[in-house]
Amino acid sequence: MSTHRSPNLRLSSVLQQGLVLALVAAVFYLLASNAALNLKHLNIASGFGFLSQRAGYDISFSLIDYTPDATYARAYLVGLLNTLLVSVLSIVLATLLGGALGLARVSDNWLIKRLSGTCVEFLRNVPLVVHLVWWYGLVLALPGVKHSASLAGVVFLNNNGLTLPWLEQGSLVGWGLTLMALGTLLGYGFCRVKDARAPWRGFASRRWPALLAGALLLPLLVYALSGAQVQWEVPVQRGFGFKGGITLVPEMLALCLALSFYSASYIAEIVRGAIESVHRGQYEAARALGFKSGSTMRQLIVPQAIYPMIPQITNTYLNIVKNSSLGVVIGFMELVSSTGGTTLNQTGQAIECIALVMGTYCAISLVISLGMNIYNHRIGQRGH
Amino acid sequence: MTAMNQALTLPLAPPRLPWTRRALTWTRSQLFPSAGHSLLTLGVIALLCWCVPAALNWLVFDATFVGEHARDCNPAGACWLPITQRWNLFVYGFYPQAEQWRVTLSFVLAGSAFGLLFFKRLDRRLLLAYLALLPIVMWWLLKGGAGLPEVSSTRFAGMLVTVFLGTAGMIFALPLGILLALGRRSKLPVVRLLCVLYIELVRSVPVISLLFMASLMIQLFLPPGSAFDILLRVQLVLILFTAAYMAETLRGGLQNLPRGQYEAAQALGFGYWKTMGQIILPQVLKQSIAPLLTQFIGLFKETTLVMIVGVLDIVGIAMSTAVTPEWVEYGHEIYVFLAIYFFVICFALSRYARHLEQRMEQSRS
Repeated sequence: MSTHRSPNLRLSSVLQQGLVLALVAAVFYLLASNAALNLKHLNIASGFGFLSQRAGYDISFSLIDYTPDATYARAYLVGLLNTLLVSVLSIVLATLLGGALGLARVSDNWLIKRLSGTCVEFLRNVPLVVHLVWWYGLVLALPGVKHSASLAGVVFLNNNGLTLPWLEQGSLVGWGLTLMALGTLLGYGFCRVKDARAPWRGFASRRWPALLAGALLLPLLVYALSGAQVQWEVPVQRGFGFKGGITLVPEMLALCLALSFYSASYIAEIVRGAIESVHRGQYEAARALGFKSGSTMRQLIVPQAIYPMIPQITNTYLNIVKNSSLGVVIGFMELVSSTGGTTLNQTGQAIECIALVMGTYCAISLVISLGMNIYNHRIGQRGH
Repeated sequence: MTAMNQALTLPLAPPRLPWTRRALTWTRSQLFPSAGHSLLTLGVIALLCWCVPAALNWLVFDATFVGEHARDCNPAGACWLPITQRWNLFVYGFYPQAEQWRVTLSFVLAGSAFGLLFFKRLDRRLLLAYLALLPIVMWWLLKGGAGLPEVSSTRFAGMLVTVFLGTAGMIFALPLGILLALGRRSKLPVVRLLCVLYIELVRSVPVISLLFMASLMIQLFLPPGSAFDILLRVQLVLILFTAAYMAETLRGGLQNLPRGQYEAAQALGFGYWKTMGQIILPQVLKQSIAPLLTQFIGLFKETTLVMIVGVLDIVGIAMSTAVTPEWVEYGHEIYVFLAIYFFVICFALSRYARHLEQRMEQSRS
């Protein structure tokens, strides 16, 4: 806080920092030398060489081809994809649920407000593990394959999981998603170019039509040009299972549901807080202008509430990604239970496996928070 | 100004209507403001009429509370026998029967720590001393030694583990969290960098990976031949990770404190530690009581994760009960009980935190 610093002070600050650094270095050295000694005792060679060995364990749900003969690196990749898939599904579901609960909490209707408040309080005050084992119990209590609930004869729900129609060539799904992402980017670029060419209009054009068009048209165009044959595979019941289609295993369903309901309560609170933080005068102004209560919410209040809630919502999304590691409780093979669990137990490479898991999560967090920082920066520039 | 406004508006206020009219107006404005809302209200009432009685029947009226065996259960309702029959296990774990008063006493001691926060005029040195001694006394009571018969920590299970891990974790994390929060705002770049690295690293990985670290990795970093209790290892990890989150909570408090407080301390010639210890931290901690309590709720919920690395907390006991042959059909009851147990404790604590926060705001304004 002082602007002027005497040489004496500067010396002491250098000394202090040197001391702290030396202390940290000493602790690290001690730990590392212990680890080296212990590893020598246990005959464990350090290094990531084990990743190319045969994994030998099965994974019940995998987005890419995987057999027990694949390598540990492949198992890691399967785990990572499962983590990402569960996270994305839960994020979508939690946002929808949480948004609905949050809007219900600020409803004019007393009954709806109270009911949603009770739900939110209940959901957020129960630990995620309890949510998870409870949902897992419920999913396993579903009727068996012979009596599965079906929707229009193509979607089946039973205690083996949820079976959906899927493309015959599974790898095409990945390509389709990549093309969709590319198309969205193209649509975004189109908007930017259009806005830059017409600065006199003073406001940005609507983004979503171009984004949607890009996301839909590019995959369709490539599909039409490439002449690939894509066929939907409708699941058919065979004995004690289904042939064709893709089955989301019960563990995954339970994890998604538990994560979504638990996180939805946090999102609901964020939405409520953000809507309540919109100034009272905005409601009065809307009423003075003759807006109805529904369109006041839609056109005035929610758009203003979205910006303050973005950092908190991102934080909740990050928590969803981290909490998806709870799959280990019910034996869903995601990142932690594949690499941090089975691989670690089989190879004994504790330091490498845990470092790999932690590093991956750090990277995911970093990417998400980097994206959010860029977004925040741009919002700040736009003056919202 | 407000008094004058009130004086002006009071005579203009409409006469108080009879309660029937008021109830009618309230119902119309709150439940049936428009056609859509009316439909919604009626739908929700119908739904509640259908599921609340059914749920109550299952949970309470048709449920079995007294009995010894699974065959005593009424199939129409919930069967709470796995919990009532194993209540001792749920609360005390495998603790010897004769020594269970020690566990009860440590529960009471931990609970009264929250009670002490209620008294505004309590000397803060007394409170801090109580908090500092609490985990040590609890450990002594639970583990024994020094006059009490010793109990092996492999017998610790159930609520006892949850309460101990939560309380001790929070209290030991507090000094560490304070240091990290101060370090993050330090003027020394090296200290700041180290603190930021630590906080961000811990916050960006899942707790489970840290717990795996405790159960599988810590052994590797210790001198060969020295091993310590899995309970203490897990406790260590809980402390280290809570401290990182707490540092962020306290940083908010430090940032919110008016700059004048720092400047005044400097003008009085206080050094860094004296400024922090006597001026800044007492204010920040006092204002952070409610957020810290909220964080305790989070930690209390996170302690359920320890069962993944083989420490039997209450969830671990519940899950092992749910797979015993006799009670294998009553998993739902056991998990509903768990949910209610956590809901009651966490909800009560969050209400308490909100109350303390409101009281603080009132006394400030």
